[in-house]
Amino acid sequence: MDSMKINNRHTLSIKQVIFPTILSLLLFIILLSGYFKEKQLNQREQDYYSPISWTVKDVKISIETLIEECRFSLNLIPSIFKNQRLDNHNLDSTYQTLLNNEPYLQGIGIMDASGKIISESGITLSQNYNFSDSDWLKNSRTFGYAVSNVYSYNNDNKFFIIAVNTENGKTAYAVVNIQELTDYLKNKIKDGLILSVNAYLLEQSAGDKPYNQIQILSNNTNSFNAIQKIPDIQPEGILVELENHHSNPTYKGFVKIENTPWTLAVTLSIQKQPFLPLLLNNSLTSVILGIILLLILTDYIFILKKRNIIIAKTVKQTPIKNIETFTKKSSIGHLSESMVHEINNPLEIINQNAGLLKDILDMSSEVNAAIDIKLKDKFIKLTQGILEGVDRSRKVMNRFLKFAKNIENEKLEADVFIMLQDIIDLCKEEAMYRDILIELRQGQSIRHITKGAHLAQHIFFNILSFIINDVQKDTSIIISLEQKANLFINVTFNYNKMISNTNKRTDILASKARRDDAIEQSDIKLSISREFIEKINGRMQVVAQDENGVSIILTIPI
Amino acid sequence: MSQIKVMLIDDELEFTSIFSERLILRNFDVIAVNKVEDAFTKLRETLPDVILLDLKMPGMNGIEMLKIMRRFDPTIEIIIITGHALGLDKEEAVSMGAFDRLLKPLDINEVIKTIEQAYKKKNLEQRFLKNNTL
Repeated sequence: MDSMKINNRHTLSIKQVIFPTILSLLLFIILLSGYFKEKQLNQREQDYYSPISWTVKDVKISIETLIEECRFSLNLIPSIFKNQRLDNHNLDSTYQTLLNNEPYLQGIGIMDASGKIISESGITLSQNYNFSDSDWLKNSRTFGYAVSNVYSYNNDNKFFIIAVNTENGKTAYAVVNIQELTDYLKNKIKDGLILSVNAYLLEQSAGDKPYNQIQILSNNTNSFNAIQKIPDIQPEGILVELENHHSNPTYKGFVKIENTPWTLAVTLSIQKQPFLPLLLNNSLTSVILGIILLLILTDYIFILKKRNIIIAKTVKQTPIKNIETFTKKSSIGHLSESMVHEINNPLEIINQNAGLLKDILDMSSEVNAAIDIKLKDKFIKLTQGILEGVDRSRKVMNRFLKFAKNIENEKLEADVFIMLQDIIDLCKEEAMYRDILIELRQGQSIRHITKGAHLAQHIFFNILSFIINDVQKDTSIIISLEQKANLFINVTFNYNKMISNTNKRTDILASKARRDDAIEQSDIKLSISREFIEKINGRMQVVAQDENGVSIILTIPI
Repeated sequence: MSQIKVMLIDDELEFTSIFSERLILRNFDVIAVNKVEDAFTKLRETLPDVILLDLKMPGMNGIEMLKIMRRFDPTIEIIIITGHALGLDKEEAVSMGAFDRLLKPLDINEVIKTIEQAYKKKNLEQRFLKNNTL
């Protein structure tokens, strides 16, 4: 129906659109600036803020960084020794050079083929240790160089020995202080480590122990317990595994440092990426963003609420507008009809008077004898002019009547059920106030009506409002629809109220003209409705039975 | 053609007076009535051949009057005259038992033509009824 259109003037105002748009834009700019600022940070900081981007590859890179440093330090000595012919003559100078560059060295020396220390500088081991039967030293003979087990010196300083076979058949060795070495490595490595990587140096000299020593190479010790045991690793391989430890997934990487009892371990907890990047770490920014989001949300809720109210109002206004529109159209039709009727009556008098005059002039022998022939012709001509004028007016009136009739018969296909729902919505508040329950029943699908929908709407409204005013509180009105043989729709308004006055019962639908005296306003609604329904060739009847209450039955042609 | 007895029913006194005179001038026997209650009395008294009935009469709808009159004399021919065309078109009037419906302002020639046709129809029907009865 054309009147169901929603009035677009009730949509969002400019203010309602611009305000959230500006806020959203502001939020977007802040987030964008955060993104670019993050881009400018160095890799370490960026990693810290974006840990989710880390992968197994990153863990491997971290381990390789460590390995590189370790190998450099641990292989330095053998490489120096290998390329030199160490003897007593140059031992001291070599030692001094190494000591200056490698602070973890506590001493160097030379052993003979049996493993007896024949020369030493720095720490003196010859008084307390004899390495001649050591397995690790035998390895140096086999493989060219070896790393010893861990020893302790004065029960405090732990050390190991790196032994290298020299070209002159002797064995050069360096005493490496473990604490010093790991501190040194730690200092060297930590700059290359990702901040949240935890790196450990593990010693596993005894196969039946998980590991017997841990040196922490990174600053962070939080994941210290994450390493339960050292897995089996191929000498040249790097093992990276994922472990879900207390719902905190952790990547672990392991690698054996060749020719040492050490294993390097790296752990990396996988953190969830923060929802908003960088700037959320700034509390002031968080507060500002919070306020902006709150404002957007508030405004959005306000808009939604307002829209809902507008829609609710519009929905409620729709049936009112329908009725208004229909009433206006109907009124135009009635007004046109009444005007034509009122003009037609005096016009008819003029018409018949002029007609009679012409008749007399044409037909009366007395008149013909009494008046001059020229005068008679003039009278006839004048009368003819009046009649022609009346005829023209009649044609205009007929056109006017057709117009009125077209409005009255305007075809608006309408669903009676929906029309009734609209009317019920319209009357709902009044009914609720009076504790009246309105129920709409439709047993079968009902065809649309195609004629006089505007009048039908008006009739439904009149009847329902009549009933609501007519019944007591706490009652029910049942409206039921029934289609009769594709010709009519019966709409029955049933309510449990007796019409007490018998005269009133028979008179309730009488036309206005006969009921000018003592008619209640509500009853007029019914008589008007009756006139309307007759206009669309329908019928209206009231059945009042003591046991069934009152039924107002409308028969509307389809 | 014998004189046709026409009853003109309209609440406009001036109209019935002048229009009656015009019909009389054309050799019709005219009974003019301005009230609903007089119409039924005159109907019984005069038994007109054709009735010109205004649709809107105070006190009773023209259609209701038509139905009562037709019930009283089924052979009587009734022509509805109205300046109020909205409520009733020609087909509807005929379906309700009228011979025709004419719109005001009336053209005397059209009215006379319609009256004569109605009278012919009435005569034919009466002759038919008479033959069938015999």
